[in-house]
Amino acid sequence: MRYCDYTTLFSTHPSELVLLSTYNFDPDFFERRLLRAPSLLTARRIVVLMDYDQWSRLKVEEVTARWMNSKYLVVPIRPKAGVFHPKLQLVLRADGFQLVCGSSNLTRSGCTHNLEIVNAISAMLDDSGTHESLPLCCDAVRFFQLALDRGIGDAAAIARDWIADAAKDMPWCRPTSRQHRDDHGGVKLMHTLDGPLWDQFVECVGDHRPTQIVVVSPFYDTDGRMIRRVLQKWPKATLEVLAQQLTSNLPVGQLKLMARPPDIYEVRSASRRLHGKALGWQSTDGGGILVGSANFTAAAFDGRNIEACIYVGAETANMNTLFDSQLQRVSIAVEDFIPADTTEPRPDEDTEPALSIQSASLRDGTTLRLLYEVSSGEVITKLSVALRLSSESFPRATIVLPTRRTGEAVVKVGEKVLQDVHGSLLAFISAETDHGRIESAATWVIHEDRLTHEPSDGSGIKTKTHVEETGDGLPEYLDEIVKREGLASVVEYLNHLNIRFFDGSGGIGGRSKFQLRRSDPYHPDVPPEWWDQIDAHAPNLEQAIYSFCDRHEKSRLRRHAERGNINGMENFLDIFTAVVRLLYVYHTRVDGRGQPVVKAPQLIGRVCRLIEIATSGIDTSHDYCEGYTTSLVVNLNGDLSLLHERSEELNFMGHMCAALLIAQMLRFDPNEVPIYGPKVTRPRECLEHQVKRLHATIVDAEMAAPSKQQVVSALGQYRMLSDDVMTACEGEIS
Amino acid sequence: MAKKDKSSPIILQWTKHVPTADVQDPLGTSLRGSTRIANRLLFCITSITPRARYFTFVPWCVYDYNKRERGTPHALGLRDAIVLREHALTLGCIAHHDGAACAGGALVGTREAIRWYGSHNGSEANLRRLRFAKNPAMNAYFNSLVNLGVFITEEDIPELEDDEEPIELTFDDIELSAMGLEIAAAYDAAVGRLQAVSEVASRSRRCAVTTLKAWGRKGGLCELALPTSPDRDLLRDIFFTRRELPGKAHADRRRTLLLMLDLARRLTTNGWSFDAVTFADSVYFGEVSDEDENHAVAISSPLTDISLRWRMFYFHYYMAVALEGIFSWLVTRLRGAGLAGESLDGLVSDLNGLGVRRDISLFAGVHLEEPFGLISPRRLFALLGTPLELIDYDTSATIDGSRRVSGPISEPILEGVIRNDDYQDPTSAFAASLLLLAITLARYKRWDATQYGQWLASAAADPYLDLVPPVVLHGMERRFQNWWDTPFVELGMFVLHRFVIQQHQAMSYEKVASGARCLLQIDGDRVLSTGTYDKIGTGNARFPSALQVLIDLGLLSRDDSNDIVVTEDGDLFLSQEMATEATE
Repeated sequence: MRYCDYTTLFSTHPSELVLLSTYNFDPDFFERRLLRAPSLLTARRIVVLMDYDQWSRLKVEEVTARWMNSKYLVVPIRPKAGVFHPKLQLVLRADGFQLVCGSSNLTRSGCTHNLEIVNAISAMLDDSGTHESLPLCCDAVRFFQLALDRGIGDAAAIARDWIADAAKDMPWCRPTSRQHRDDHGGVKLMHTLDGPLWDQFVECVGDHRPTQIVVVSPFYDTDGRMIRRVLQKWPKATLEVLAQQLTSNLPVGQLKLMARPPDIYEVRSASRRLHGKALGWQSTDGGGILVGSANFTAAAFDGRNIEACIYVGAETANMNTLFDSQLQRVSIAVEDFIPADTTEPRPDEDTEPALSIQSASLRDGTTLRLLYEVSSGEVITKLSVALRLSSESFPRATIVLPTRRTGEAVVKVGEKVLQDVHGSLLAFISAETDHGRIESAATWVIHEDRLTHEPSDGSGIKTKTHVEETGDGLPEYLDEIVKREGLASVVEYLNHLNIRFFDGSGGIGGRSKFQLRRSDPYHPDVPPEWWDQIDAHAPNLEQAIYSFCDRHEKSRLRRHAERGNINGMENFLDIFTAVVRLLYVYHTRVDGRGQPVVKAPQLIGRVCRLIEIATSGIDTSHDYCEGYTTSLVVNLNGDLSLLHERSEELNFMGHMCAALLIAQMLRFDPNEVPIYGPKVTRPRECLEHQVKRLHATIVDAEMAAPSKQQVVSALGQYRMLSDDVMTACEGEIS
Repeated sequence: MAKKDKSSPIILQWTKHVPTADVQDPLGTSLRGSTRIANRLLFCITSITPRARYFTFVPWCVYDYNKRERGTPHALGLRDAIVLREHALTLGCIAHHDGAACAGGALVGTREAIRWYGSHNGSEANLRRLRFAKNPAMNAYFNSLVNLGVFITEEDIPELEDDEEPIELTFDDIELSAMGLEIAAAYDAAVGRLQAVSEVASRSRRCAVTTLKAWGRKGGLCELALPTSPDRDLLRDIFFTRRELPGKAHADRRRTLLLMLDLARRLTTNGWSFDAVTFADSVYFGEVSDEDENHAVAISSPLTDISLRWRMFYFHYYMAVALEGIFSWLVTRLRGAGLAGESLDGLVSDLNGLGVRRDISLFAGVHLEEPFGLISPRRLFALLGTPLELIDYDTSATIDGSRRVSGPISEPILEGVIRNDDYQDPTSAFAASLLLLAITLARYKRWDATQYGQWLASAAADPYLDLVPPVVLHGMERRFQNWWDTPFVELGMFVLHRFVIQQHQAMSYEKVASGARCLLQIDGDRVLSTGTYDKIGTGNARFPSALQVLIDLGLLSRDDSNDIVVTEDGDLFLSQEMATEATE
């Protein structure tokens, strides 16, 4: 018997779009387990389609969801009748796809505990951009498109746009119409949005004369309708029904009344609930199995529910492989079977709540669009929407709404209200009536801007590791964090980021394994941050950047300079350029007051100091540091050619000159009145002392001055200068 | 690197099962609540560090190792050298007490040492070959010693200059601080001249039991309390923070120990015993009770603040008992239901059963005329003579004043019902737990906006995962406009779902990535259990250790009835320290 770990199925990456569907959804499990799977961790966009009633229940129960609608989008689906019940998952990558179809809901029990049946098909496109299973993928995309037509609120519209975007970028996944669908190597996707599953299954059986029909299901019609239907359709076939005592609602009473009841088999497991669903047939010349979300009920097979299954043709289908000594099926008399007192999933019959938010979405950072409904018959005197984090007792902001009973409202939310929001934000509406105040259940606000994860180069995993290894791509990675988690997370990340130190002397820098540190659990009598987050100080990005730069100057670059190991030159340059680039990129960006985040004097001072550390060092009354180049010259005195070769190879001095030029460009003020010396007329005349020291170092190290081309090349490698600035810089290189 | 797809299709397979592993602290209320709060109040005295003498013995081991052994050809590693000396101490204490352990227990390796002593009476011990305990005392006491400042730590080492290589420290490199040396020297004054000490450090590692006996007499655990012990006063200075220690939390330990001494004196003077129960009742209710009478306990003015912080601890304690009580009931109940599980609606609706109504009527001493689940806390307390429409600062104080320790549904009474299964209908455990939660939160409400409430709230680093009374109270207030007037079935549904099932599932991922430490599964509307849990773990684990430390320091002792009494020395010491507190 074969078992597969559902939580490890999503392992390929990077992925462009992940489309998931489920009836029940457990956000806590999803965020802690599945969202950490590589396919989802690196996904550009993630959508979870789930049943509307179950979604409403999540809202009422205030389940733990830290990242709902900020890292992944949840779309409630409301079928015309029945429930949204599929468990079809699709991962789209630039070079292929992965499709998982089975009976597992995206819950802890569905993915780790129940007895669930699953099919998973992966495909990597060949050189011609195709694969024999590709039509399956197209069918799956079409399923999601059709399902989204029954989606509620802005989430459905966003998801539709995302699928359209994916189809543009990856034309091979464009959905096909049903008429053109083929049997893909004996495997087909079947769903009720194409019509009743029963009809599709009968079509697959075709003219064959089944000798055996096998059903595995936890739920059955209370009147045994589907069982009768099979017996009537194929009266000569034996029907085997596999169910589990105490968990399956097998209609024992109805079966006893049947003239020719099916053979009942008990699935024996001491600790796992049977939740798998399959319908198989076998004849002398063929066979097949339908596996997926459909219970053996009329609601599932006649298309009231939205269901999705994979149909596997005869060659690969063999129901017997599901059972052996580890998991047994044992024949049991109908009258001995103890059924469960449960019913199949069906829509809630509860009336609509007095107040409800269908959708709340935040666009452009501050524009909140609400779709809401007031079902209460009471006279509403005032209506307002409130925003809070799940940890907050009281709303951090309330905004008055027009007292319409239904419809759409677009309101502005103050920037300050949202500045410290990392994960999920909740919105609820409250109404003042003649009889008091009523409130809706809170819903998770859709942060549309944060939902798309745009890695700067390849996957998120690579970017993060790459940044921490080399510093390359740091501003872009910070942009990703700010989009997905907010400014506070950027500050936190910068405060903790240490780019790797390496100079060839073995191992990486850092703490030793054995640590002897004291702790102090003392806490002053002040509320924790979560108590009232709105009062938290605004994260200070500017200080975080300076702190990051100074930390790396001290613990990395000065350390290189003291050691003077030629093997560390590449790492030195990585950190040097990362720091210069971070300072410059954030100098070009403005804060809420229209001021550059990084102020010019701060940038110029730091860049000049870094150049000194890279070259001849610092020797002032209050600071001393060897220069990296000077240390190299001392250490390699016997063979400076090695220094020259390595420096040339890495364009070391080209980078120094480029960094100095950037500082000069910022320093230059055509209107400046000189305090001493002649008036500076162009950027290259600025920072004269630094220029002289740099050139002196080059001479002392017997190195060749970098060519204009080398300096331009180094400037280009920063990937941060506009064309105008680049041109201006080139004009300054003599 | 992107991971490419090389997998073959998975056709028709069962999903894999994540089996359930052992579960402790199922809601995280101990490790992420009680332990954090108690760590602030009794910093450096943990549940596994009850014997004060180890606080001088372990540093002395480092001192003695450096003095007699380090650098010799037969020198062991420091860790092994400490363990070797620990064996000598254990055996010495057993020998001194003629084959019994020291009074107060917690002599590490006692059982094996007694066995060895019994079979080798009078013979020579080859300490290199003895192994009395899997986990030496040093492991338990080391962190506390570090936090007390006994060793030189990274904070004490000047920051590295840029040209200095970071030093890779090992355990063998640890060094005693000035205070550590002082402590070690004090213990050395007791045992340093003993023959056994030299023998332990010798190449042979052999000691006659008679020489070890002298070690037990001079340097044993219970012998610290003697006035002649050279390290006793020094340890008093340290535990009571009478000298400068690194960190601010030591001040709260001092005040906690003073509070214990003060309460011990007040209670025993009036004929009451001093133990964990009377301590809890004193700080929580300001009174103690027995079957016959209630006795008001005044808290000395300088100790009011620390007493209130302990009160916060017990708010958490009772909340945790309530939630674990619900968890324990749920798991037991679901175990009976097997794989079929139960629906939440079904579970909660059982609160309306006749058996529950009878049981609660009995606990509360009132006749409930309607099912328990349908009445609200407001209604129940109105029946009990405390009619309050809602719970706010003022009404919380009213509850506090009216529901005393010996009242019919006071927290200790309900705790007893839950822990002892003292009911007829099993669902009454759920009902009693809900009642306990309601009374605890109602009583806590008045403190919520105060500095003490904020201090308690700060024990929750993450309100998603850390359940402390402010988190639960705010959750209830958010969920229900007036939770006090919400029927118990509705409260039960919310608490069961959010603070028990969801919390337990979330905790399982905090413990292991696979989430295996989880006893509850939800499948659709069914909840099922995959294991057993019948012991409510919540407690005040540090209190017995603190009590033993005070005994070891000679400030408390046990009388012939094994009751705690304040020693003469303790009385004098307390008076001096209270005078100091009053002037600060």
